[in-house]
Amino acid sequence: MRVLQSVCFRIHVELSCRIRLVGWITRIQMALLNRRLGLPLTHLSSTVIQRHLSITGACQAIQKLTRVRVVDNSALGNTPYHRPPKCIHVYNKTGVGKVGDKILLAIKGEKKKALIVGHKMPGPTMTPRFDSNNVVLIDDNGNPLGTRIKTPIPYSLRQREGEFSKVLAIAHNFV
Amino acid sequence: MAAACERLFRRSALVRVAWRGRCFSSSGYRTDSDGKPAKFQPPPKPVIVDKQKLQEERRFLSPEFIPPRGRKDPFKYYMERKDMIQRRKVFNIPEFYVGSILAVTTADPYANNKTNRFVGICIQRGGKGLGATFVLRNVIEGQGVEIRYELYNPRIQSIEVLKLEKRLDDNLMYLRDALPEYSTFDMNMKPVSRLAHEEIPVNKLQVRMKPKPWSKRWERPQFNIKGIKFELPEEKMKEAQKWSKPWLEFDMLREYDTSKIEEKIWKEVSEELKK
Amino acid sequence: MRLSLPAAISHGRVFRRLGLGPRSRIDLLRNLVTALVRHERIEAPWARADEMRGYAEKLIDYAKLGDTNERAMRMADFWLTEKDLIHKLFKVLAPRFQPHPGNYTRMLHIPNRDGLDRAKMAVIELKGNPFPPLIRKRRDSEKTLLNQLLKGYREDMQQAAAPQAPEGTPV
Repeated sequence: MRVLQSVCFRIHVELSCRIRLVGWITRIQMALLNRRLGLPLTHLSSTVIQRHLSITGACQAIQKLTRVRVVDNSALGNTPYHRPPKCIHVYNKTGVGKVGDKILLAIKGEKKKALIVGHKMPGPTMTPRFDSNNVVLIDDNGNPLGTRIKTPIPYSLRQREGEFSKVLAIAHNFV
Repeated sequence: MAAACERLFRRSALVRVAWRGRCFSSSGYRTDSDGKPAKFQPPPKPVIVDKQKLQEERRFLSPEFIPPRGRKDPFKYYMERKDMIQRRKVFNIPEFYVGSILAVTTADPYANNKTNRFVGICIQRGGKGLGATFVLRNVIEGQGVEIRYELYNPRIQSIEVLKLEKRLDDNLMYLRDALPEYSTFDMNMKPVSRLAHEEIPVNKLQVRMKPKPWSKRWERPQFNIKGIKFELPEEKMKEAQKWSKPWLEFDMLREYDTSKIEEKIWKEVSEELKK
Repeated sequence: MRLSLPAAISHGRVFRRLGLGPRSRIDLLRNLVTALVRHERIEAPWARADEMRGYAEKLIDYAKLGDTNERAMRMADFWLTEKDLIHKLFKVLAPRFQPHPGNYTRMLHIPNRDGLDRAKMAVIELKGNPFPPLIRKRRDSEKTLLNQLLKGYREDMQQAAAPQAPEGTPV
């Protein structure tokens, strides 16, 4: 067990911070534990999966394979899943997503578009920097899937009011 | 006679207690014990000792006035100081420290009423000269938010100190990895009043951290953090000491003694501000 | 951290790398400082002596604060590996340099080392030491016979040349 863990850990460290093997690590661990202890560990596994165990920290800016946090109240973004939503494409020319960029998410085995409403990377001065990479799920026409955004979103999104009016309409808090 | 003696004694005692108002009125006009009106003696003038003035006014030179160590032409910093003083003449930049809670109002074309107010704890002060910055941090709706403000940016409309205090460290970046309650502050917080002459209180709060991974390994000696209550196992803490560099303390050529520069700049700035 | 150095150590490099790392560098300089305080004049590779010079001067600056100063005492305790020298530092060197604002050492080049590496060597000394001076004054050679004769010859030549000039000018 410990050997397996250490092996996994080493593989993990070697790969870049973006790539996470959490899903299968935990699954193999659970299987092994089950076999050895002969205990049903379903309750444990559910907690472990929900915690999204990861050894590395989150990315600063949003690029491909960044784990993101969905901050609206859509059903898709809020039901627990063993794999956190990841960015698989950034719709701009640099490949680094900032506030106001659209990205493609891999979420619960689906592909969904999302709008970045906050990231860890510090932007220009006097603009907020958030502790997590926040996105809001949108469909292809730019309509948000959820009905409200609880976390604060930056005022600077408002300069593109026309584009994101529907997203801004469901926001409750600005900073 | 005994009464007179007693009175005299009382009077001297009264003088010693710096003349409270009630005693003052009754001491001068008393008749003596044998009936004759006593010769009028003007009471000695009470000396009012204003304790607030006695203590020398606390000098506070904002840290961005002190130029960094380097080979850059000091003239650059001199010119920047001129501009900084110009700004300070029209805009009140209060005294604050890392660990103080501030409220900053900025002009924001996209905000409601065109102004944006943010309350948070100052976790870092950076930059020298005109480009000096400070970072405010707060947790709003469970979401940690930080904003880096430029101290001399004309977009800033007011800086208000809600609570003036220091912490054990000069840089509170570890609050990012601490439990969120340590950086949660009410947006409608009322300013805490304090007397002008008091020493700045040091808040000796030790924060508890989230489980690892952290953004930095704060237990390492290079950060020298006192404001964290580390709940790591003993061997981890011992391991971190492997990175300690005890000789740096004795490397005399690394020391940057700013006391003389500070004195000079203080004189320059205070003269300019009085004009 | 010295910031006014010749261009050879520039681009942000403010000190030389000596020994086997930062720890070793400080230990090496410590031994040199101790030797300098003990002997007051030492020979060392030029680079090491140059690095050590700043530390030695700073140490004397600290010593001037007096032995009651806690920080000065700690510094002396660290930099002097032979502890009997702490007394010398505070009681001999500090009073000696009390009137001087700085520049307590003198460093001079000496011929390269004879060994394999032919390292550039220097001699460094504390000013006011009891040894004979390193730079001997040039003897006053004006009164020697040869110089006197030469001087007389020069004067003669000048006198011979002088009368011709005024004759030439009116023409």
